[in-house]
Amino acid sequence: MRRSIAIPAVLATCLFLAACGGEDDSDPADPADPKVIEVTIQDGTVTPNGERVQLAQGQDVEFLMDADKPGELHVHTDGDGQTLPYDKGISTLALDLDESPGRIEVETHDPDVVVVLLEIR
Amino acid sequence: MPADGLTLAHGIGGAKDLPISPELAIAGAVAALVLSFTVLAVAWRTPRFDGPASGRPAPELLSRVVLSTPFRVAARTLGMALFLFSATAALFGQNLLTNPIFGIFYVWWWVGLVPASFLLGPVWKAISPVRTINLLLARLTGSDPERGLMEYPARLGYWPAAVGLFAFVWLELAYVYSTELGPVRLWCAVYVAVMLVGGALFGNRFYERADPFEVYSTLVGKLSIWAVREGRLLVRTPLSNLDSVEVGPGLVAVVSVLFGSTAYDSFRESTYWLKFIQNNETIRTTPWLGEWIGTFGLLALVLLVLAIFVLATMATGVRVDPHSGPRTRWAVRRALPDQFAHSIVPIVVGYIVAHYFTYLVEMGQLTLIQASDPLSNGSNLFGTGDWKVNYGLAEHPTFIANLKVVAVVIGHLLGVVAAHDRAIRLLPPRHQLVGQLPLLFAMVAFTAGGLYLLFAS
Repeated sequence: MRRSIAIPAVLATCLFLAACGGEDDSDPADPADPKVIEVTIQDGTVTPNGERVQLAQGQDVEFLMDADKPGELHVHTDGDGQTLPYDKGISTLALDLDESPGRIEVETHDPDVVVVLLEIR
Repeated sequence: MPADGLTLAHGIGGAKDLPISPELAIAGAVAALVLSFTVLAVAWRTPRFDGPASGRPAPELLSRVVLSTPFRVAARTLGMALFLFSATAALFGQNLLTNPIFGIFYVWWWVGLVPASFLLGPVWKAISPVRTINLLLARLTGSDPERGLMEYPARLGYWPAAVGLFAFVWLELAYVYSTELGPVRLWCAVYVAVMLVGGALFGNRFYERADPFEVYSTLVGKLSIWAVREGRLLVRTPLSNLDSVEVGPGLVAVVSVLFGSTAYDSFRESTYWLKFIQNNETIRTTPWLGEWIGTFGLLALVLLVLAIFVLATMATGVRVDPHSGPRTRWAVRRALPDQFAHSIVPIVVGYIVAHYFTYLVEMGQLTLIQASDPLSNGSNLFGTGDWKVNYGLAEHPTFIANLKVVAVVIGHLLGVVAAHDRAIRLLPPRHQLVGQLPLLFAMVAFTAGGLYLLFAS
């Protein structure tokens, strides 16, 4: 490839790799407090609805459920995922996460809705 | 009915990649812009890549081995073995997410074909089971597999492949029952049937133009260093190889489906789309709309990519005989999009790397594990049933993010260079630089759009 194209190409690539590389895996200490997410399911409407939630690596989650029907939360972690059943009324679901950084969907199937997207950084 | 386990209309797989940071997305877009204008400013004025004529002979031994009959037979046998294994899992396996057919269909085949073709050339042409079956039937009946009952209509070109590719991405991305055994089985059955009938009618030319996977694999294979000419294996630079893509009607539709579908796959994971389909009153209250909104989204993105590219390539002066009329001008102009379509291929591959790299590494392993138990009866045929997927890649999110952006930017750069060389060859001297600007802007828009989707998904 001609040098006049190769040089800006290499420069541009190196510049943003240098700018944006760097901080990787600093020791992920287990944060003490689990993240609390309030979930309301009434008449087929789910709140929150497709929200992003930022988590630290190793941080657990607590769902405060308020549902008018029993159901299940499906958490799409690597592998088989986790299923958290809940009853009608008010309850608390504990979600233990031991995951690598990534984006995890939490959804219900009745109604068919993605409740939150957990972003583990 | 949904299969057991965590069925989702979002396909197979667990955790997904994090979105890239806004700084990285902007840095990538700026790099793409700078590189594009550098190419335009300093690049050559006479065509450099003479695809059909270029290339150095590969080492003699390698050439003899690769083009020998035992090697070809081995490749065909491998393809048939995979086909028969997959057919067994599809026909006699269970409708469970642990059936390896889903991983074979959506991961090994669809995504795996890209790195395989990038490294080895037109892989599907070598292992395609439908070509093999056509060949065997031809041998049995004493006919020539190259020729069928009639000539493949040249005007049909790559259009059937574009339709076939759209049928696949529709099943994968828009159809709500994409991870049910029935639909996958039906899709494969129709594919095999159409390919066999087409092969009988038109001969092997049908596969070169109408088999969606062969067209896809051959196009990506043009980014490899391998080529064959007059019975000899050649080595040539990917850009020269790309220049030798055979232009035909519908090529621009093929690349638009490939790029538009990958963009849609990203887009449907964005918060914007999720909130739209989950909160919009009309969608929630109209049952059929909820099932078909994905189809509309996919179609819209594919058509958008097609429209932008067609307009960008046609918005230039054309080289015609000064005495020819407007009809000829229009005919020449109408042929331009297909003649530039090859330059989208590197952009598509860059984006495929960005979007599917971790998916291939992780789900590819999972499929290998599931392959030991095709009938879901607890067997462990290949001994891989007890293995665990290694998710170590996910511990390096910065590396993954950088890889995505570098892949997209390099794909963009190769696309711009390929388009420039084609423009030099096709456009009249007055328009050679200015005539490229619309296409350049279209490519920068595609790349910036792709980076934005990586950030927003």
